[in-house]
Amino acid sequence: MLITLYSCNADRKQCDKTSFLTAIATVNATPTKVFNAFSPSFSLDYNENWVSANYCYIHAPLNKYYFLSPPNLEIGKKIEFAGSEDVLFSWYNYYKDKEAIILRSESIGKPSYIPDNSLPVNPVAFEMESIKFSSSPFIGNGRSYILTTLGGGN
Amino acid sequence: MQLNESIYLSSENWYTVFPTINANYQNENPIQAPAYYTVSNYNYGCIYFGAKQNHIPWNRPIDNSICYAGSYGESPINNWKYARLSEAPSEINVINLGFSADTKNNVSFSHSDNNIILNGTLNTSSNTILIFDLAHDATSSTQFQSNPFSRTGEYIISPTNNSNIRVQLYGYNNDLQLVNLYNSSSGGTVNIDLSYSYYVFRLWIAGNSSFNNYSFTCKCVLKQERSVITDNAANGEDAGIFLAISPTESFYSTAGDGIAQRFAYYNDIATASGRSKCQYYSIPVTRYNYKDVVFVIYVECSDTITGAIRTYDLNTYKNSYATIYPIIRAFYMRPYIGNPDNGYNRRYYFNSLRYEPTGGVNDSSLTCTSNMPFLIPNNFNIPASVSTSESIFYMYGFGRITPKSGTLFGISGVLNMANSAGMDDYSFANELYQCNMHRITEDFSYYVDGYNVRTVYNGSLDDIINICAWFGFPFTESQYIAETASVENIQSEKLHIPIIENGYITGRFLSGSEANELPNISWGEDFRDKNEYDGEEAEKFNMETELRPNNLAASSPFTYQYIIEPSQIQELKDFLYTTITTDTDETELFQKFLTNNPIDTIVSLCVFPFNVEDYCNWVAGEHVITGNVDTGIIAKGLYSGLVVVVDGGEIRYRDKYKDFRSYEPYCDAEIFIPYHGSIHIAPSEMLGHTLGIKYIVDICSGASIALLFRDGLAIDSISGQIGGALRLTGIQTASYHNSVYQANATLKQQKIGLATQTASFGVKVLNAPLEAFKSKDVIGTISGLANSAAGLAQSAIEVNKTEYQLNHVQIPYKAIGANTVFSSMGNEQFCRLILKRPLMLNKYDAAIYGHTKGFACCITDKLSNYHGYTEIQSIDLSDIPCTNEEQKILESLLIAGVYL
Repeated sequence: MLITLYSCNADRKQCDKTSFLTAIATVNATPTKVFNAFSPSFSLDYNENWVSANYCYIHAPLNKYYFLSPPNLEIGKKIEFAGSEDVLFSWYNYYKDKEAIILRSESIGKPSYIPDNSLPVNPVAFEMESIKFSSSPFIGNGRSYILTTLGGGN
Repeated sequence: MQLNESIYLSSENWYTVFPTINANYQNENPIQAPAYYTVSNYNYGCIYFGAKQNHIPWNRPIDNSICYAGSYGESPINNWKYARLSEAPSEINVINLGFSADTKNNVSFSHSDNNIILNGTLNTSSNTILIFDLAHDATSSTQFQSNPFSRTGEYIISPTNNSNIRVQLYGYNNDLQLVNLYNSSSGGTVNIDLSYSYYVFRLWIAGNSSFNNYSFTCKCVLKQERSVITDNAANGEDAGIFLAISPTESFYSTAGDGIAQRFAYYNDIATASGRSKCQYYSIPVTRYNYKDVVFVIYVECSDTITGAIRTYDLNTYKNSYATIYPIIRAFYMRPYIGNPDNGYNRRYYFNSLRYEPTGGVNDSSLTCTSNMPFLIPNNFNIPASVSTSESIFYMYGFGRITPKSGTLFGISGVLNMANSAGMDDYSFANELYQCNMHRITEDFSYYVDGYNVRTVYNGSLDDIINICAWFGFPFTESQYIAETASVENIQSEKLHIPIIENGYITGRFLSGSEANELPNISWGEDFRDKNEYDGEEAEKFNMETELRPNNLAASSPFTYQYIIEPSQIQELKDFLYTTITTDTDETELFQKFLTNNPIDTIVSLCVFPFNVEDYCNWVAGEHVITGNVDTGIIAKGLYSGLVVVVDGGEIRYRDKYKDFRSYEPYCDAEIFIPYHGSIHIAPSEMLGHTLGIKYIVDICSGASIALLFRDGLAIDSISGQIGGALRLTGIQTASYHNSVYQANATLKQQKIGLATQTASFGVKVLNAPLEAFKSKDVIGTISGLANSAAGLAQSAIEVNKTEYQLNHVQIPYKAIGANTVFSSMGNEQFCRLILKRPLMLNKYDAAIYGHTKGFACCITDKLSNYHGYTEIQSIDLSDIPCTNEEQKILESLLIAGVYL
């Protein structure tokens, strides 16, 4: 089967790893065990440049991306890789335009009106502010004295 | 066109206030008596601006009505909306044109409506041409081709009966060009050619002619059709902001009086009440985006009331001319059209509302034009006495319209009867028809100066800005700001954006960068869905609390209330400590003091920390009465309005963080209210709203309730005490003098008894030796004498005792009231919004937090619209051609958080 080996410096949680991949080689590999499409293992002829590969793409018919574990080496003979599928990147083009209920996002850029108990709010310190209203009838020289009397007429 | 009168209501709602005017040019008379309210004409020549807002009921208090596009609070745009939905797609308006009188060449002209009447003799050897002008620029092509109206018209001259007379019709662009000569015997009709700027009629008369009530009719029939401005042809709804103008008046003028304008009316539709109906229609003429219109406040000022008027923008006036020309005669706003953000500085364009005798015709970007119909109630009643007297029926109103001042509108307080020849023909004592804004009217003083009425603005410059906020549009005091400032990102503190809440123009505004938070400035071409207006009538949203200050008070009607000056408190004290002198008239004594104690008739003396006179009805020169005693103190008597509403100011509760931290339980908020205490409020209920306090104060007791308003709705209250009872002391004079009186009486009685005893004892002493010799009981006789002497001595002691008591009658003092609330008077006198907001922990970095944790949200959207760290709640992956296991893993990863 044809595979492309990459050096990948993306976080495993990165969905689209296109810009994080550096291609090393595209080679034919030989499955070493009963082939499992989700966690395949395969061997390659030894090439010291390929040892640094940590990511690969298995071409058709799988057409999927895999994280590679550090290889087992048989000096001068074979390199043996064990992989696990990167479903985030393999199916990225299928789900990226799907609608989802998004609960948290870096895109928001700042805290929103949704309460966030994770936000590091200081539990004991507060900011006090006292804002004066626009006007008051009680300022200035306005004073009135009101005398109320009983009246029966004079 | 049929108007929906249920919307536009009837004429009785069209009141305006006309001031009584002191003909001596000295003072103004206050505007208050309902008798001076009269059916108003309507403002003419006014541009109707207004941000689209809810329908405001006609019975809305008129102090909210400065946004003047209907009448008294009727929203202009709402007007248009209803009008547009209810009317036919086109309309025709007929305007009659009048002519001026002239006395040239011994021929007198008079007129009645459209009729020209000639009398006199013309003695010239050749033909003579008399000129009278039709004053309008109805033919200005630029005004019609750029707006949604199409227009045709014709001039009609009736046949004449005098072969010596012809009427010539000239069209004018750069010079006069004869268009038609109406034959005297047949009259004629000519279609209006829109290529002319305006028309001039000339009367051609043969020499040596006599005229005896020669008359003919000349009128112009204008037909206007408009296209409905819609967002799309399908639903026919309006969109955007409409600007409309209402220069409906026919122009009636000679060349020298070209700015005088009249209301047009149908004189032949007399009603049973002897009034004539006016019929006008108003329709929107064009529209602009909200950010494309910024109004500039202009001030017209002078050094004296009669001095020459200068005009400056408010900013220039404040900085340079306020002291030189301190008298503000008027103010108004001009619309500056354009948008610097789109590369077009705003400009102000004159509206050519009329034929300008000396300067041609002004172009107008606002596409207003003379005889443009405007939409007001069509049952607009005007007394026949006025409607038949054209010479006095000058309509001056909010917007003075002169050829050079361009389009003004309702915000102006200009009465501008400076050229109102004919005002003297009409008695000031009778009804007058002015277009005055109530608010403006009350802020202006009026002075008669011959035929003119001068106006003087009494308010402050700041209040001018507050008034202008009622228009709902961006406005500024600086022309430069209007021309150049962005409304996308407001920086200048001189640029103000009115606050519109729930579709209402509130009259409040924000300035400078603070205004950037207002939704108005994000309105685009179609903001219908963005201003919270859903097309429903406003009654649903009219959540306003109506306060009802009234005459009720805690005290009964059997009490008197007076406003007394501090100096009169001393007089009161002197009165309360009055004692009776020996020469006091007994009748007065009886009336005043033997019936009651004056101190007992005083209920309270309260001091209020505001000027009660501003809120109550009072009458000066009242005698202060206590019980049945006139104290002799002259004060102001209160007669009504003893429960008053006092405005405690307002504040807009802004969201500092604009996130959840501004709300409970993170944020705590309360409002401190002087004399009442504090009210806790829930930020979630109050944020973004205007909070206001109004005090309902019982003037008699000083008790009060502070109402907390959220916008116009009272939502909480707290009781308090604004009026503080002063401790008042005095002598219980009646009791005192009763004691004195009784003691005097006792003393008098005792003295009489003592005198009798003394006389009797003297006789006894003289007779004692004789009695002793006569009697065997000498000792008894002597003893009786001794007893009499002892009784006499005892009586003398009693007299002395009573005299002592009389001289030491205890003066009964009494105190009422207790010095209360004075500590509150030393406290903060403003209401305050007190906020306790959370702080973040040290070294909090929002960017790092967002990248590693994400900010909380709850949004349904495509994932591709987001970037960076993202967590989801759920997603449907069923149509992805992956295995179930892959699908589960994928979903769990997205829920756990990924980087998009």
